[in-house]
Amino acid sequence: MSASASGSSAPPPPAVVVVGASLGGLRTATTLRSLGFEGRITLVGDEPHLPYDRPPLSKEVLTGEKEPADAFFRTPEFFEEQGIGLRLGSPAVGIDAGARTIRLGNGEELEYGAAVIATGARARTLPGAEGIPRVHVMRTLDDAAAIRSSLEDARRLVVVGAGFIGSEVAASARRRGVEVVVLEAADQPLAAAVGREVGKRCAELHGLYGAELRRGAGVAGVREMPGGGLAVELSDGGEVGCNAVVVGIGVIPNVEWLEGSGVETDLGAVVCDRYLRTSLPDVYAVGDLASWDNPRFGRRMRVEHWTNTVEQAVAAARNILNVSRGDDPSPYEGVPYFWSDQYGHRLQLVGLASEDVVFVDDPPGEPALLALYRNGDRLGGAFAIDRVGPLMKMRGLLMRGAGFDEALEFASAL
Amino acid sequence: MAAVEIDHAVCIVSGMCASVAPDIFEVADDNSEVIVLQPNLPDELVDDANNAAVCCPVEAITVHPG
Repeated sequence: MSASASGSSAPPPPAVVVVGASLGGLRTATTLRSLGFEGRITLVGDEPHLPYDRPPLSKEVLTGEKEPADAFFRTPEFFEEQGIGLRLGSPAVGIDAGARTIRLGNGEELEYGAAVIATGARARTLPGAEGIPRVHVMRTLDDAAAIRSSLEDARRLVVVGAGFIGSEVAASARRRGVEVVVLEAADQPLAAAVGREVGKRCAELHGLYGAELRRGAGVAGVREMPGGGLAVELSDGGEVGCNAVVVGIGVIPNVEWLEGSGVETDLGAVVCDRYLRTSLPDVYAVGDLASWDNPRFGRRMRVEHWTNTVEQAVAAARNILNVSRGDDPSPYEGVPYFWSDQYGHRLQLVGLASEDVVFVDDPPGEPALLALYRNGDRLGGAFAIDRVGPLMKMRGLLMRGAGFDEALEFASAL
Repeated sequence: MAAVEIDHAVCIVSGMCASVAPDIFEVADDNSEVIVLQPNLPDELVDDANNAAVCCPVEAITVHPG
């Protein structure tokens, strides 16, 4: 099927410029093509690398089960075949909405009929510790390669932050036989992400597999030692010696390049409507930096999960195509979902966590669990360790707005 | 008739497919694999299968058009 098949007088399909060559940008571009978009597509990325997948980086790439090169999504030939132009290694530095152009750091200007902002987020660094050798963050392909190199001869690793990324890095290092100390500033890890009770259960995995978790351990800085080691200085005056540090204390959306472009941002996120449209005409945003109005939950949210990015990329591509054909866009009503693999266990959250939680499956003496979060009289979300099938059934219930009692009964019978 | 298959060497049993298309995919009780309930797709399930393929984190699902 052809977008311009209706007649030879139809205008050429407009060019789409996708800024950000990671998961969201790539999937927007490939979805446009698979849906039949025939105009020019250009994918802009600040890193020199072809688009790559991040989930394996903190897991199989660190353990050595996969090579960094295994993370690439597609070959250069794929982009040629698909007619997707690549501009890698030069970041976008601005949008001129009047001229409908996107300016790159190397001076190039790309005209767009529609544009997609998919510049994602970068890892938050530890103030004062930037630039110290063997002090890492875990976000990019280069980060993973550097951490892996550090782990090869490290006796002890300190992980700053017991969130999901930090915990995955800790688990991968343990798999390699490296001693691990995880420093968490809060008294209970993951409380905001999954609630205090579930967070406690996740945190217990560290001890079970020989990593030491210290709660309430704020980090003041990192010092290089004369012998080549590192000393992580704690807020309470203590110190932890190690050979390498990985900092996992969250991410910052990459929105600075939009300053002055007229794209509305709020609290560091790009503000989108329910169709993922930004405040500029025909400019959409997807992924970690997009704060959109989710009709399913009746509230604005920003989600940093892999599947949300994929689903938003598909939704944005569909809307670009529909609007270009004179059709109405469709709202994006995704249900947040993520998974994390740690110490051989599969952790999953679907929906929204809260402190109002019921454990429906919790066999004694093992990490496995299935927990349901209540949201008024509705099911608000679910969390599982090693209960993939049941958790995914809960996702189905969430998608259709099931009541909490119904979900509880259903889950108890699984 | 359209058909769907899973590359089990690539599949990480994320379970996304079983959630997006529960009539086609099911996670085994021991979480060890995804079972394809309907390898041959009736027309009304083709969209579900395509959505599952898109949402698969490791792109292990292939839908063959009929």
